[in-house]
Amino acid sequence: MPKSVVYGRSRARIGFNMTAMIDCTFQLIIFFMLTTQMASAEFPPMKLPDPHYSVAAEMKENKAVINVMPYSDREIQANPSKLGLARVYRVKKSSVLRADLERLVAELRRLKIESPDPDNFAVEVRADQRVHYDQIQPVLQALQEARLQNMRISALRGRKEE
Amino acid sequence: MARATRQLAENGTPHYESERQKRAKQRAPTMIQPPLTPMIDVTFQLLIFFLLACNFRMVEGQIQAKLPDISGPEVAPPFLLEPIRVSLAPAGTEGEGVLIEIGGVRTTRDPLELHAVLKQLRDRYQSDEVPVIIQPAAEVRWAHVVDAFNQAVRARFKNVALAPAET
Repeated sequence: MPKSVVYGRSRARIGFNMTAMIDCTFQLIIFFMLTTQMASAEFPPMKLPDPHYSVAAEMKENKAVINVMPYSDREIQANPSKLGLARVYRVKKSSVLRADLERLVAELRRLKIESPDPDNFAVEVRADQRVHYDQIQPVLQALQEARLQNMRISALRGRKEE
Repeated sequence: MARATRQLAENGTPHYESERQKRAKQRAPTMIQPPLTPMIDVTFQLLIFFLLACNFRMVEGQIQAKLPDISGPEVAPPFLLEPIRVSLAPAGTEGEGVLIEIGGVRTTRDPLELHAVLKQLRDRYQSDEVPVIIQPAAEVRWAHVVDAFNQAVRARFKNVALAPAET
């Protein structure tokens, strides 16, 4: 008697089909690898200003970044008078205290000299949105003293208005 | 009916194997598969790492600004055109808001109104060379200063400056 080829009498093998799951996992890994931006010393995380109909655009040029670092939320919670104050100014990897304006000027001058095109050297001022204007003013003063006129103000780009 | 052959195991137990079973055994190809388990383990480790470490950064950009040159004479030359002065004062209990005064005549809290007024002024002067001086008070938040600066640039004024803080 011929036997069915389709319905053979061999034991049914039960197993997970891993292929689809591995495919999905690889897709996710590739997505995260491409979108993740590791924290860098030049762009520490902070709440940047988010102006209405922002005209901010990405400018990849010959520039240095000054980060006006605020106090952390924990420090502000412990001492609310620190809200709006700049903790430190950070240029590249070096931190400059607010009172040490001369060092900031010297640092900026050094960066300008070391840049490939000192005439078109720009400085990006990256400050937390809650910091008071009088905390930013020393940076502007330092830029002027270092004879740096090209300034860039960091802000978020293209917020959709309601 | 297929004939079964009798085989004895090591302990003497008889085992019967039919002809069909023999053929099936011969037909079944040997499956060669690399060990996938360590690879899947590592893949999941990577996935978990990226899930935890991923911090989507907001898309940031830069607004162009020009600082005055102080290398020239100590006394700054007078403006050829009367500048538009925009004063910013903190508002709200913790200074979270802003009070915008445009040209000493109009007061608003809305940066979009500042933009509308600046646009009107530019159309009236028919020039984008009119200097716009943003003069924030010391305790105005940087967000409001940048917003005012942004509105002036958006109104297509070319000469926008930040004045020292009003004390």
